Amino acid sequence: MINRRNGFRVGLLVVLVLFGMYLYTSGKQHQVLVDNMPIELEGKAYAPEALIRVAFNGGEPLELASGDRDVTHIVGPRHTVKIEVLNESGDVVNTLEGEFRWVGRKKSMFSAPALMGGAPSPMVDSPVEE
Amino acid sequence: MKAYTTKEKIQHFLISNAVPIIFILMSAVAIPLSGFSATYLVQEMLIRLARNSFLVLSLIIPIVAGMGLNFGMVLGAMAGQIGLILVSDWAVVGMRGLLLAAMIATPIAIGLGYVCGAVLNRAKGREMVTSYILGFFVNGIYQLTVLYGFGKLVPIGNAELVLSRGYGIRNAINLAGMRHALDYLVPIKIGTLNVPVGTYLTIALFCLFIVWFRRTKLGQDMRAIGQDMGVAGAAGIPVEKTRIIAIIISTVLACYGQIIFLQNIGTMNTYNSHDQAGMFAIAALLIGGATVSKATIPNVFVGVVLFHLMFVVSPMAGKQLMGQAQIGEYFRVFVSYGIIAISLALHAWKRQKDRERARRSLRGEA
Amino acid sequence: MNEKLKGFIEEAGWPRVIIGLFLLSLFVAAPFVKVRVDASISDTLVRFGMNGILVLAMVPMIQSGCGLNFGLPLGIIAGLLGAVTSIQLAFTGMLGFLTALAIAIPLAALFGTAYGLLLNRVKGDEMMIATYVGFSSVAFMCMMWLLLPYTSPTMIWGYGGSGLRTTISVEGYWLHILSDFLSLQIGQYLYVPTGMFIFFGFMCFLMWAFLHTKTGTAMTAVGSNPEFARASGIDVNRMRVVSVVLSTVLAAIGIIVYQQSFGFIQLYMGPFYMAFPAVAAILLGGASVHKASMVNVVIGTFLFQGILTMTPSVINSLLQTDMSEVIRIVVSNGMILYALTRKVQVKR
Repeated sequence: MINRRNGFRVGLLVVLVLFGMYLYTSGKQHQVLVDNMPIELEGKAYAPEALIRVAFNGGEPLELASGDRDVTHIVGPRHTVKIEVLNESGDVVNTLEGEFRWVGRKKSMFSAPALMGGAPSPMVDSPVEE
Repeated sequence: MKAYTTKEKIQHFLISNAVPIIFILMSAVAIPLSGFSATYLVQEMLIRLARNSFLVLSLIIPIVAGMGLNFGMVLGAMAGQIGLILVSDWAVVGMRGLLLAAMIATPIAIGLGYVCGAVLNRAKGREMVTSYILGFFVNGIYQLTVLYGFGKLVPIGNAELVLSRGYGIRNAINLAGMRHALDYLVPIKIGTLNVPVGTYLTIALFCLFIVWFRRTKLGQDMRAIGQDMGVAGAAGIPVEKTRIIAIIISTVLACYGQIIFLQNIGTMNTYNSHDQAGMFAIAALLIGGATVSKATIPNVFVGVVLFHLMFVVSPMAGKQLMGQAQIGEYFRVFVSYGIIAISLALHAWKRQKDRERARRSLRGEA
Repeated sequence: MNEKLKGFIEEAGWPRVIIGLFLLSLFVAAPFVKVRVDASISDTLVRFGMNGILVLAMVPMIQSGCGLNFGLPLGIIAGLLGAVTSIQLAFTGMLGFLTALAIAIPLAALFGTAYGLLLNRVKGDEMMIATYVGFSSVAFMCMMWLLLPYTSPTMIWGYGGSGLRTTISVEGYWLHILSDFLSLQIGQYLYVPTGMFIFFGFMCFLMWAFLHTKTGTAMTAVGSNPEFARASGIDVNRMRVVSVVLSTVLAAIGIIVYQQSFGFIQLYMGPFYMAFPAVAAILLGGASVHKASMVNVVIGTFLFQGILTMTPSVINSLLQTDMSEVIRIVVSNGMILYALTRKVQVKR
């Protein structure tokens, strides 16, 4: 029966489903590998800095030396990241802030060199099988 | 109608509030015995109020509708847990995770509530025993689903949730991602204490809902059915349907209540959490002075505080008194069940007395 | 022939016929899933004998209108006290068994009287209150088992602990004292505990005889039509208390028989849920909330224990998993639910 009441109910259901989808995408937590290793994307090579501090969305920073890889969690689709480049004595030499989006599980590795080198997206193929 | 003397008024007050009074007396003895400090107890009670009030509040509506204590609230709790399991698997965190869990669990809770209501309609006069057994029965089905179906029929991606044999959910699930998500939604601290303001706000909203609901037509219908099913039916109220609606509402609310409970604790005992939810909520409500046919919002809060006070204090009191903490723990189980037995007995006794009095007056004796 | 079949099914009731056929099909399916039929028969028979008297204990209270005795744990506790005391006194064999009975029965009568007086005050809500009386007494006894001054080394916690252990073995005291009497051992797997059956049958006979005495018929009258009974001069309250006492005493006897077959005394939370299988069994046997007969007891216990034994073993072999606990929960509670939701033909 196509009447107002049923139309309203179907509409409500659609709204709920869309809301559910929003909750899912914006609330889903992803495991991210944070990489400070040399990487090659689309022909361009990106080199790592000697010592960097990476903080996502204003959270706890991770310290990575050249060749390090760490792991952390981020929630949702859009993120900010702050990378501080440090010298041997631990002082901040350079700061870089940027935004990126979560792409997918296959590309769940964040490459700091890629972000610092200006690549289109710092999310690269993750070696982890999941 | 004769005027009541002060003595009669006091007697009446004592009898109708017998259970909470007994409890207060017992607590007065046990608290100093246990050695807990007042600040610790107050803090614990604040937490437990936040954690449990919603579940206990969900029991009010079936009582108003004359269906007694809804032991079938465990069905709602199970629905909530299924929602949480799925959301944990999908790694959705924070408040969004809770909302998603609630959204998924609601249709399940509605379905289960409908089954419960329909079964109870076929067992009029025996609602409480029937809902009690129904709780066990659905618990069996829940276990079938969660222990065998999840992992095999329902794909579970997160290996941490699954038992080592490859299917079936583990007994203890860590809800770290959603822990305190509702509690600390509005972050307020008093000294070093984190206050679960979010949950308190939700509970307050729920209380307002109950007050508003009582005034709606549906609420009034339920009240009428609670007082006299025959008269309500003759007045044109769809008795069967309304009773089912009452149970569905209660089940869905129990579902949310369980989600709130679990987000406060942070771990879910997949096969045990819901069991105790029902038992403790009912005990708390009765301790607060509610009966099988009457329950008010103050009953809920008084009951939660008194029940949990005893709960926290008994093991240590038992240890001081008898030298074994184990005795205290059994004592608290004994008191929980005993209090339900006493409340039910008092209520039934009072009802019988009223019936006899009515019969006697019909026969013409003054 | 068709008419006779229809008549039988109507008399027996569809649920019983369905479950009976289901049980039969399980037995038939057993050899195909590598489950030994003779071992299964033996298991079923043993469990039948073990639980029979506990189910029988339901009859007096149903007949007198007190409903299903969910407070069975009260009588069970009396039985436990008898058993434990008998072991404390270190009596073995038939003497130990009889001592257990001798201690349990008076205790059960005492408990039953108090319980019955309570139930008289709450006519109409007996079942719910019975459940919680049962639960609270089990919880209360949990405290008592820790405190009571029992000293027999087989019963208390080791390494200088105090208080009774959770499970106490009766091996060496009166294990199988009834079961082994005149028992039959056919082949390696088929064991028929004749002694236990004889005792069970004797108890049923006593109950049947009692129900036909003046007191027994008075009790039944109270259950089926209390107003008429009162008008005939029967003391309704007294009959109800008698029925509760009987039920509690039978429960005490029943648990001791159960223990001699099972081999262990289960304290603490053991008796907690024991009322439910008995309730399910008698309801399955065709009893209603107001009327029960010996036939109900025998058929009900057999069907219920049969299902409980066969379903898990067959399904486990079929699906290669251990689902027995969960299946037990679903089946027994499902049956109770079915009985509770049957429309009662009100004759009043």
